[in-house]
Amino acid sequence: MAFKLPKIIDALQFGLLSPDEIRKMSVVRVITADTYDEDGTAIPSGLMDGRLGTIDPGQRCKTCGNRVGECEGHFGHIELARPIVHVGFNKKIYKILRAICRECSRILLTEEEVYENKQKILKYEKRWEQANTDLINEILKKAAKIVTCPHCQALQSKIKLEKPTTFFEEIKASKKSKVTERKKLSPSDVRDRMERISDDDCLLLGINAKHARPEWMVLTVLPVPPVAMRPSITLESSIRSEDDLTHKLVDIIRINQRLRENIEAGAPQLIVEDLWELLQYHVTTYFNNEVSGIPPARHRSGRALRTLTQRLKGKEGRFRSNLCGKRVDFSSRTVISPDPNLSINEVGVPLEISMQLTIPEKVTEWNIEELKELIMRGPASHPGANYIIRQEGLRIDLRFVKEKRNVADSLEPGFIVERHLKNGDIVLFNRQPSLHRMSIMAHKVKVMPYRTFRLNLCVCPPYNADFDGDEMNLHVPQSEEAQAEARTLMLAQEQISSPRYGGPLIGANWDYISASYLLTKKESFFSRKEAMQFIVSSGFNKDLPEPEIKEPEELWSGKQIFSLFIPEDTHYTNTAKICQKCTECLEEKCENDAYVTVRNGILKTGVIDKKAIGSQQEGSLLGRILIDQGNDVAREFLDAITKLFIRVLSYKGFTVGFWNVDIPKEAKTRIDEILDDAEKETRETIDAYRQGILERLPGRTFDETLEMKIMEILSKSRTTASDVAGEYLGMENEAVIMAKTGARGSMLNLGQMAACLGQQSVRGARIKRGFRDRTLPHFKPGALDAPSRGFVRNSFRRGLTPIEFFMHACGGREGLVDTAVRTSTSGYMQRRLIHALLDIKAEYDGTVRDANGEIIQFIYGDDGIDPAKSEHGKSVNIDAVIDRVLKTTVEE
Amino acid sequence: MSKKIDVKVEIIADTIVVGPPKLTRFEKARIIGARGLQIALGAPILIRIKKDITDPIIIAEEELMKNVLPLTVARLLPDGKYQNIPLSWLIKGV
Ligand SMILES: [Mg+2]
Ligand SMILES: [Zn+2]
Ligand SMILES: [Zn+2]
Ligand SMILES: [Zn+2]
Repeated sequence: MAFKLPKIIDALQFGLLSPDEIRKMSVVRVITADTYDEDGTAIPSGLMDGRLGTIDPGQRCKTCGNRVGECEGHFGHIELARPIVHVGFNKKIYKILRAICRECSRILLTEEEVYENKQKILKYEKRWEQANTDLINEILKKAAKIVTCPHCQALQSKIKLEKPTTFFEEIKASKKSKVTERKKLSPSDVRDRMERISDDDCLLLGINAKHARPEWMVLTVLPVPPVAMRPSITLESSIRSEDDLTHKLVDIIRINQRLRENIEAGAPQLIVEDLWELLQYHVTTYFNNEVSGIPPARHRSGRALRTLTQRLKGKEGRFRSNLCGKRVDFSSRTVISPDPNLSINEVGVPLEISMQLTIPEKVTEWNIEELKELIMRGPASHPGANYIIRQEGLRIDLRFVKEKRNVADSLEPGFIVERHLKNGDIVLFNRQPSLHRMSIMAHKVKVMPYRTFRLNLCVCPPYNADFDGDEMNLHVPQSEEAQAEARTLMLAQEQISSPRYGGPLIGANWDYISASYLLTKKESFFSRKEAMQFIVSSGFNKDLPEPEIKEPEELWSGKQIFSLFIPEDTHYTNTAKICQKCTECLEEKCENDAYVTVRNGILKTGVIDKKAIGSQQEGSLLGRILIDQGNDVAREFLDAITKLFIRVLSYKGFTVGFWNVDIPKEAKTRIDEILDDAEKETRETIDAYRQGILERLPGRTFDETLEMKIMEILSKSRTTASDVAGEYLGMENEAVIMAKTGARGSMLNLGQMAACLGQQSVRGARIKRGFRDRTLPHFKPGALDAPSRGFVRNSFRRGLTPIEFFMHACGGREGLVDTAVRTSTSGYMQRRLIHALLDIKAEYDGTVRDANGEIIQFIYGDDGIDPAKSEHGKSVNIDAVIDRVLKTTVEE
Repeated sequence: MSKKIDVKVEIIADTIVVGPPKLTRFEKARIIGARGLQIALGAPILIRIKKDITDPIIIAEEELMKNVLPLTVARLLPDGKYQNIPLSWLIKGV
């Protein structure tokens, strides 16, 4: 469909509509409060007058003669019987009234001041192309304080604004008198005063009289928006239901009519004023139905009306919902769940969704037979089709086709078939918040049963996804160009390396790490049967090498099995995560098997853990393979080992329980002693403080010194207690395996579970708020000892006392508040940064330029290196090269 | 603000003088997209390919890798100069 451009915009000017302009753009003066008569035709000069445009598909607009799509509607107007204050400008009117003379309407400044400020304002506007709001506010404030007019010497009175739209004047009899008379300023009075302001004075009041005269803020004519803006809907019972705006306009017209009649009939002042105020109320709520000070106008059902301001404001308003937010076709959203059997490049799409999302495929002589089959299968069975688009543009909905055979036979080259999504199709997969480019990646479709999107666990880090109810979106690129771009640039495997720090962002996590440790640790050997099981389940067919142990039984080491999956020609040397950081590293002969060496694709020494295959690890084996062998190989490696690890883990069995944090009695006694000592030491320090013999630390007060000393004693005791517990928790403990290999948790967490939870803190200090001079009424006033200030002596294993539990909750709550605050502020900072950098581009000459072609850098990053393809930000990793050359040649 | 460049001047050379010596991933995506569209619209394919491969994008990628596409990459510099580079020159480096 060709789109007709109604107008080409080359400049925008904001201003106020003058009464004349409103009349000029109006096609009808609306005078009747009714909309339709009994037979359903619009009443002329009513709110649904045909000249206001049409919303009826059959009808033509009475003004422009166009039908529904083409006619954008035309404004009408209402002549208000009396002026009405526009609520949107009440503050501005108030400020102006205070700054001008009540008699002569000149600004309350001397001629010299006027001249001086005028020059300043003009100069500022010329230089910055915007109004000097600070200066104008200053002028308004200054003028409001003047008591006698410098021009006509009239005594000024104080103006009061009673929200939302009523103005009062507090008139004094003389300059000195204290008695004031409160007099209402009617909108007419207000308008009269503002009419008399000269254009020159307007400038000082912050108004450009060319585009907005101040008196236009008090309405005499009200525009009536076209019906397209307030369409009526016909319910099933053929009862018309009008838009909220129409309801409001009906009220306005009705009261306006009554007001005019009363004025014309010479009704008493009181009645006229009441009606005037009522009209003001209706116009106010027409603009904004949520102004403070007046009750919102309600529908018969009691629901507050949604008027002009409400349409624009807030999350569901025009700006945030319709202008900043767009909805798209060919997309879907559902809960995500993990599937380790998928490749990182794949996404599991529920069958139901795959039958709703379609890809248009042009019929050619090559694919006509295939597409005929899809049509025969129809929209209700899986690899089928939903629509056919014939050459002339006619859409055939296959849901309503009775004889599919006929349609299939009528298919000829040039038609387009909208076929179901099928395995291998490329789609975009996205999780909000989309903070970096890896938040939207392309995946290949795998149609699956059930109702969730399935994804490989290795792509959780880039999406920052987990499975506690997260939902994700999926989009289907329709054109071949879009599909090609998605496939070559956005495919998950192309995003393994992060552009933030040249290293893999996609990598093994959690259980994969535990499994890799269990598989590759020194003492793990497997029989032929076991080894073959593992290899087969990886999805690859590989021959077993010579067994490491031949007698009495053939046994293969875990390292041998893992080595089968490392690509040939891979060389790697690094310490493992479990490394104890011994003072002198024994390298290959490390007792803990923490020195990982891979020579020509064979894992010689060391265990594989987070440092070798994890995500977000610098200098990992995965990163080495990625850089040396490319995305394809790295993806294959990752897919194969993760499947292998799943099999290994479920074969060996791995679980965590209460026993993992259970320590022997002697350990408990030792920990108790440590904590007793610490508490005693704390008490002694407090005593010293109370006696004033505590030695002050340099640059600290006594209080600070005490706090620091106590914190140090307590945190040291917690660490020692944790270490004691750690001594009794060895590498055969699953929780320790997870902590040491980097799968999940830390030794600190384990210490908190097994030994002592330690000091709880709020704002980086011991907990001190609560009751007067104490945290809880359980303590003496002024108590400073460990338990009263949030030291939790117990472990999670032993259980917390109610007081300890309370202290723990204090610390926990701070954590929650912090995350909530951090995400919102950092989210906004990110948004602004992205906005500032968004269309910067590297050109073919190597320069980095903005949208105007201005050079920002002569070469990208001043070194021309793409961080995603770099070795942790550097172009070459010398160590890796030396490693590769030296270590391999020495062995040969 | 810099002015928009309307005049375009072709650089004639027998080596690649504009941009990197090999096909960038963006050019690759562009070419596969354009050729994929042709194939999807029924253009005859230029290589022998397994019967079961029907996805135009996959076929286009295969054709690009086999260096059979008679296409030219126009690399435009911000100053309006440009070079027309035969695709085959860029493929050699890939
Ligand atoms: Mg979640
Ligand atoms: Zn019209
Ligand atoms: Zn005056
Ligand atoms: Zn070591």
